[in-house]
Amino acid sequence: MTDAAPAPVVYLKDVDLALERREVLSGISLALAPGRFLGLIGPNGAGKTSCLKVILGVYRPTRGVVRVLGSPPWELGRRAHHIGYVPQRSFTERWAPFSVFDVVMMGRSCCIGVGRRPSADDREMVMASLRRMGLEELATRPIGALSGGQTQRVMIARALCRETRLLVLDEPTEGVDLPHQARLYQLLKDLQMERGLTIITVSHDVAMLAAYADELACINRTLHVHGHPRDVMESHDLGRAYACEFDFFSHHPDHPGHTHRHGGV
Amino acid sequence: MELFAFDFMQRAFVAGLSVSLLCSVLSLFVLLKRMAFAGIGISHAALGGVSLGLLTGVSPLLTTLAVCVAAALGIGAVTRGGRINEDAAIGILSTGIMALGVVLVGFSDRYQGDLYSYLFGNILAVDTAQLWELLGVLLLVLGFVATFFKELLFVSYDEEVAQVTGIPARALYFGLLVAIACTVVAAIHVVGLVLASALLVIPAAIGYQLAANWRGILVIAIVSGWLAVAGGLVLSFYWDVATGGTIVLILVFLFFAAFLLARIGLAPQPAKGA
Repeated sequence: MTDAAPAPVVYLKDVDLALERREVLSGISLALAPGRFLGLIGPNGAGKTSCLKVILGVYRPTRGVVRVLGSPPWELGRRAHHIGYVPQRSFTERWAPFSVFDVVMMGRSCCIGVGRRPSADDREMVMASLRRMGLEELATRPIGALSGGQTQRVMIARALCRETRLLVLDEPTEGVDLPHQARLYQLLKDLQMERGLTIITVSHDVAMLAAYADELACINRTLHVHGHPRDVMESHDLGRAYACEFDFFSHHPDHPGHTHRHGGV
Repeated sequence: MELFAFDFMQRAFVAGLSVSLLCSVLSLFVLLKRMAFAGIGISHAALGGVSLGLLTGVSPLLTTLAVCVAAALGIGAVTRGGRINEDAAIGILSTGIMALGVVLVGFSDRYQGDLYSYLFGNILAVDTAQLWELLGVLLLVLGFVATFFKELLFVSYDEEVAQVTGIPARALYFGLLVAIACTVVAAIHVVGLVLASALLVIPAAIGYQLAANWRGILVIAIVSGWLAVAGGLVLSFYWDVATGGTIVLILVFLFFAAFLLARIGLAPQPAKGA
């Protein structure tokens, strides 16, 4: 008797996506096992966010199969409370008349149920989530009064104060300075370990992501390369995906200060 | 007070305060979701419904409700499914239906008097049957808002995240549009269709000036709406001026007073981000 491999949390097979009659994704196939941390990389306009939105069920593919936790994402129903989503910062930073506590409590809406008010347990879960993010003292502050990094952690707290199994983040380090980027990725890594979370993160910062993710997948309309970060970084497919000479500074803790250079097409 | 000796005044107060409560609660979501123009568009489309009712002899309340709900759903469908922005969709639909109303009204002169009361409101003429209809709309819409309150807040703040995390965001957006349509029909009785959208925007706008949290905004919106309706009725009774216009003018005055208070630092300044 052999041990069956765990069912993938995210499974895409031959996925095509067209938006406004323009092909955005073509033939994407990808499987992500439970508890893995995937970094989704690619140049601007490559379809990374669109790929995330296919996984989240915002966009339905024009062709192919999408399964999240074993179901098409738009048919998850109440099981959607296993998904936590942190959108791009530009959207979440606009002023709104909500406290930090209010925003994080929104993450529990689906768990509380229609027509019901948050219970003491719900409030405690929100506070626990804020405590984990180091934001407990900011609970009563207006969401608009926070810095970019703090707002990002509030959004992660909101994504986690449910029965989250899959955490999806879109450009979480956009506009965050380098030390805070490293801290944010370390936080995600810690959460992955503590909770067995499956994480998908889109980012432009390939080297930083490579230092923390278990897998990298490079998309530029099609999936160019997917595998262990080291293999992806050394692959010529990466340069081809970016269609230019690819130059970066590695932040990997095992190779501090080491510079890689890859030739493009 | 002598004005309460009149039955029509008692009905006007009940109708005005009820409609104001409804509008003020919805105004919170109208501002949060940036749907002020949708409110204006739906209220202008009401002219088509009023004209249809006056022309066919069917109760204008029913035809206006049907046309406003259809306009609201149309705005939602064109916005979500089309390739044009929400403001353009609203502009096209509301003016189209309004134009239809203007054409229908042109078929006969005998409706002009009735039409005037729908355009500018005639709260002093609300009869008992209309009062019950207004209270029915009030219960229906407030029931919807109370049931889905936290979900509506979530959808108003962050619709995409709400949708992917298990909230029926699209259905709630359309529900909110239909609630606005029903509220516009109720508000027509108080201030008329020309000014109805003012009740759906200004109360929460006053709250936004004076409070940094939605709870404070909601309380200030409700109190402002009640003050405006009560003030408008009293002033129009003693000064013999148009009630609907007076109510909206009081709201506008309250808004600018709140705006000035906020500017000179006597109200909490909403933080704009670090």
